[in-house]
Amino acid sequence: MERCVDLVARGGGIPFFFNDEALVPALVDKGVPLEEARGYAAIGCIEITLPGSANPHAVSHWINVAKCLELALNGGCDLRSGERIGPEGPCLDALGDLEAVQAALRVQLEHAARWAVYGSNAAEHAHRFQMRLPYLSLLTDDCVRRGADIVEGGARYCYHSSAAMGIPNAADSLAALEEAVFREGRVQPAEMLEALRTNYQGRGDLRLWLLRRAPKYGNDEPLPDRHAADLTRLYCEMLAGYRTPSGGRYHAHLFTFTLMLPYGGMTGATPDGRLAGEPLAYSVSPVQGRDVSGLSAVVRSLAALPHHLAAASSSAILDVDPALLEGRGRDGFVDLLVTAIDLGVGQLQFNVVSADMLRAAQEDPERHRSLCVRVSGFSQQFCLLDRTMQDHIIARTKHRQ
Amino acid sequence: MAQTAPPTVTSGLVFDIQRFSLHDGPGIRTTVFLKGCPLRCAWCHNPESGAAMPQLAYYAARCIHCGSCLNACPNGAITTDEARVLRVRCQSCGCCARVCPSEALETVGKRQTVEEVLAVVLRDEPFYRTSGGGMTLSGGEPLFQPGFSLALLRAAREHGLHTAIETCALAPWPEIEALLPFTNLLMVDIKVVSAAKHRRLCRADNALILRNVRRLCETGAAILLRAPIVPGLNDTAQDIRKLGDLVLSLTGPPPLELMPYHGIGSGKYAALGMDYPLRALRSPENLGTICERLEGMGVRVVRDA
Repeated sequence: MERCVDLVARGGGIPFFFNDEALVPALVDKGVPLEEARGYAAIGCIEITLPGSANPHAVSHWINVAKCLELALNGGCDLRSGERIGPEGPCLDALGDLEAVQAALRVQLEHAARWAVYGSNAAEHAHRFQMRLPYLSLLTDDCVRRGADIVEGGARYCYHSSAAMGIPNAADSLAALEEAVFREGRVQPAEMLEALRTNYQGRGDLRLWLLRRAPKYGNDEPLPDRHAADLTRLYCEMLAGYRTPSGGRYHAHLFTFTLMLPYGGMTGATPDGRLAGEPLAYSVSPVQGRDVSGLSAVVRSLAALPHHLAAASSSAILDVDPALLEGRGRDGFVDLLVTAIDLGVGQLQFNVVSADMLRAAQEDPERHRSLCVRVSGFSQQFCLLDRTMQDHIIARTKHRQ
Repeated sequence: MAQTAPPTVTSGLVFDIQRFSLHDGPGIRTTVFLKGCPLRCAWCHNPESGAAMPQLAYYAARCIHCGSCLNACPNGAITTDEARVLRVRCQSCGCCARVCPSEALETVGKRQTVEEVLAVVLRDEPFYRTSGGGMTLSGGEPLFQPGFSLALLRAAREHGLHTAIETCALAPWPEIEALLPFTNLLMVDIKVVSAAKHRRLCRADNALILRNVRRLCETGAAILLRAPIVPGLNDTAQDIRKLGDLVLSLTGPPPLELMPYHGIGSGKYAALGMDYPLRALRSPENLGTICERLEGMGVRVVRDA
């Protein structure tokens, strides 16, 4: 572990940490025998598969939980266009209490999940006609024995992976609604809805209060952490009820890849003070810049999620100021990782950079070409990223002393 | 009047609880900052820690000029001019801070019970177990609230935590002695050895401090001495020689850690409406030389490996 941390501290190498204690039980929960579950491997970024015996669906579809909340608060309609894209229901001003908001969110999420699964299953059917994979089938256990191509369900494990997006934003939003609207009465439901519809125009005071003063996931605060955990559990259990055409399972995948930017672009203003179009959080990392209570608090928040239900893996990137890893900091960091594993956090990646380093690279890319950062499940030279992604990475909290 | 151990109290004034502290004792720690200090060191990087009462801080850069605070203040202490707060009228009641949406106004210092503090501290128990860490009391000066400090240390010990305090040792001896059974490590500051200089730079006499340090070392308690090194103020050859002589004259003698001056706290002075005369000061560049000189005298200097 010490050598791993030295590699993290050097930057450039940027290893992943996968936690067997979380991932093996998650696979066993989906019907994989313990011995085989222990042989899991990562596909490209952080997607978990069973090498040689599974049809390796890295990501079958994405579901935007933050968008589902938007629809739940606005009667099934897009906040900006007004277009109906989810089941019809009451708007926030008629929902009455937090339980009603959660129930409305559940309706939207179920609707999104049903369509997402329908699409993935339809694609699998289409593959049988148009995309047979004889070579891969030869190399995958049970295809030959069963006499079936991998796309026909020949593999021993025919799971799909359902990726959840925006859970941290939705959790912060529910916490903000609970605190500001339903508990304190600081803002009336109708006023809140109007602020969301107008993208907080003329309501900078309200937006800042929601952003800065309402409790946020990533700080070991009971309220948002409970919402994040509840949403994650709901997502995992909802998807566990679906089956693929080959009888396989849907594995929940708490991962956004780099799509928190475009999906954020499609999502209207949220009650956590986020403006319409702003990026969502990376996977289950706290929303960028909102984890301000130290690394142990972030780990505690991450550990509040049921990682053992996410069989396709969960993911988090934490950005750490290089100064934190100097001297005694290195030992503290080793202990942090060991404890995160004990607490059942599924997966972790670290960037060792300061915001100043990144800004300098933005200003003068020629001189900072070797600066590598963890973007998502992969690393890339910072200067090759587009500006939005660069800004997103700069906005993530750089943990220091 | 005979001096006695402090009575246990159940609540105190806390201005911050910092988790994942790596430089306030061994392992991963939670540092509890108590408000109130008997010294007024010129270089203090926690100026909000001095006064033993809640204070209002105003961070001008965060202000969005929404005007929420103007209506909220019952004392007429909020104005529209640049300083925002009329310090002579402000009662630090916190009414303005509660309505401020942008955290430009903040109340520094909150009365908290032992249970409330411990509840936060215990959240990181798994990290203490892995790392050998625990709770550190800092400040301000923990001994400015001796009864509360005692209660916190005792409660932490009851939960099996490693405990440490950071102190300047300016307190009646019985108050220090009372903490010893519940404290694993004492980090004791030696600001300046010369009495005249100490009075000038820290606004208090150091005779009691030095007497307490001597006595502490005789008890055999685990002690780490810490000396701030502030360029031009306490880093002359004579200062360093006196520091070395003092350390070597103590029973043990305990190890010494040098704490180089940094200007990180300078922004807080403005927020509190305080003057900060050291504005132009830089971090010391001669730390290595000072280290070597002390080691040459035979002092055990701790370096951050």
